[in-house]
Amino acid sequence: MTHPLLWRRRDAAALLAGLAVSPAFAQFRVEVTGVGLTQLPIAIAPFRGEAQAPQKIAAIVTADLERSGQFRPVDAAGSSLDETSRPDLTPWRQRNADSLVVGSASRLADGRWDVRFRLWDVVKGQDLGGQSFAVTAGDLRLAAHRISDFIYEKLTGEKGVFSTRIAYVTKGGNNYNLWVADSDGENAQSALASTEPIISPAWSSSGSQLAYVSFESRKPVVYVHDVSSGRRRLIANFKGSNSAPAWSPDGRTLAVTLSREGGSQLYTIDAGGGEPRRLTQSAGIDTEPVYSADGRQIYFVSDRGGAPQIYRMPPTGGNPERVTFTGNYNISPALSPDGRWLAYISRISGQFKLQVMELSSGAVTSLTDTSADESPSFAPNSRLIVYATRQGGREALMTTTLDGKIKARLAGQGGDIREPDWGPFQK
Amino acid sequence: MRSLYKPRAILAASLFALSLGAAGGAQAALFEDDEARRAILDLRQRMDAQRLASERDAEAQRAELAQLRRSLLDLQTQIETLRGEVARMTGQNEQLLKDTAELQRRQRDIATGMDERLRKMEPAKVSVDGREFIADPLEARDFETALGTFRKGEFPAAQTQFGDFIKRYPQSGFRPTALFWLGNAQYANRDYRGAITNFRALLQSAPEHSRAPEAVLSIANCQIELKDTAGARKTLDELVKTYPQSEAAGAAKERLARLR
Repeated sequence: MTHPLLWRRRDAAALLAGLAVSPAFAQFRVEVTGVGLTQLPIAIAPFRGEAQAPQKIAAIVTADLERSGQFRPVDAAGSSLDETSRPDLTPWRQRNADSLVVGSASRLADGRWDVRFRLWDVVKGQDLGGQSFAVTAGDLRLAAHRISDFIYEKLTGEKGVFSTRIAYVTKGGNNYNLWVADSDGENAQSALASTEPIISPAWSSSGSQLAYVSFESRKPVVYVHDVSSGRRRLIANFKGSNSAPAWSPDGRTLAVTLSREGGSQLYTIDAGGGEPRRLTQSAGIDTEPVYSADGRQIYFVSDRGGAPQIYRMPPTGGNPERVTFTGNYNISPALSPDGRWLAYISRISGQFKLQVMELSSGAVTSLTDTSADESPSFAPNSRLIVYATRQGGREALMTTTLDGKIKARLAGQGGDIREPDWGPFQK
Repeated sequence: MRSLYKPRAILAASLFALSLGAAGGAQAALFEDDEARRAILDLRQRMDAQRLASERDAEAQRAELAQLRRSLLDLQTQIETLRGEVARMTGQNEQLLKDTAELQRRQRDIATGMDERLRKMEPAKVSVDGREFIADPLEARDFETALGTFRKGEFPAAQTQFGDFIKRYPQSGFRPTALFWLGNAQYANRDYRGAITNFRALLQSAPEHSRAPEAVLSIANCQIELKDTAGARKTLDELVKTYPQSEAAGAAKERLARLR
């Protein structure tokens, strides 16, 4: 059978035999590969004074908006406008821009940066508002993401996810690292470094904690890690393997896969630790649990029917109902926060492909043309999916829109990068 | 194992018996050497036999154990096979459940669609001019079409359509009403004689019809148009007499007053 911890493209043996390339994290770049049908053309003028700042605000905002698939950047090079200008919108209309962003970044006496911007509706000639932030140099990227969120929400009516965070794992040589990065993959901070594998990071719904599986004691053990303090606690270290943690939406419970009574089965454990309660009773392998956003279902993978498929059941256990019927190998379920979509990985003629199912109709769409997709995770606004894959011979983190039309590559130069998990909206 | 001890016990007992005998023989010289030798040989023989027997036992047990081990392995394989079989059947069952649900849904959809389509073709109860009767959907549609044409004021077309209707559905529950509107269309088209014929046909076939008094009044109107004042008066008199409570009777009285 497959690896009992999780069904995944690479098992632990493969994890141990990866390539020895050290990752370079400053090289993330948006590579939009698709063409959307309705994209809003937007011009983002260089922010006045940003040349002296350590981060180029306009470039970050442009990349953010482009990656969302909802915007098409219009060239704004050479413009010398800022948020105080009353811009002549005629040239922007001629360039077919619907919106214009202007702003500035200036250094304050205390060393912080004052970032200001204003958004213009070019078509109607209207001022759509602006904001200002006084931030440290280290938070300039965050300020840029917040500007992107403002623009996104103003122009699409939905919340932006640019200031949210993504956790992922890299392997360089024999060093494993768990990173917490901005939604564009940049600004990564190491949460944990180990010479043994780290897998399955999972954000709590508050975004303050990460659960993950670490092999540092030479066997899979589940930890919960406080992101701000770096303190962590052991949640599951029972006989056999402890794996695949998933948070309940209220943050009180973790669903995990344990093999303490023989085969791999699902259990729940209080987030503070304690005695696990067994959820499933099957002769097969039950693993990869994930809660629905309303907390009413746990989706998981089981081979009780002879091949791994995705099932769901109430969070207290009970009769599981099979969800996937297309193909004979479906693993790694992820649920959209709006409850409408199920993303998962399907093995189709030997290739591992990211699929998305509309839960109300059961209709399934294949989203990628890559063949080694894994670990899908939804953005908190349910508009994008981040996943790991191999593209052009390199490991990569990608984002895709739910129609698969716009994809962006978040990965740096080579190295093993995988297991992304998209965190919640920042409170 | 226990059987291995047995020969030794027997041997001990025999030796004990021998020593007893020897003790006795000191005085009585009871045992000759030959006798002793025979006894020893005998004992040896018996011991050999015992040993052979126990070896055979052990061999049999080893064979039995091997047999057991084989059948255990067999059982294990069978359990594995069964487990696989159960998984396969579980999967099949899940698929069947899903297929059944899907079929049920589709069947419901088809049934609903069919009902809707059949309803369009099945005769249904209709109510016209206070009368209830069963009519074919097509028949009802043709009637409504003709009435629609009349209401639009397209009287020649209405005359054709009502005329066709009466020919096509001679037994129709709509017939009296159709005759009434046909007469009216003809009146509008100045075909007064034709109109009178159809109003009379209505009166003859359904004298109690709610449109009957109006039909009589209409006949009188036709007669007036045809300058048959005497005939009109007679018709109006009949109307007042036959349908005294009707609205048309009131109109007839007024008309009579003017005609006199």
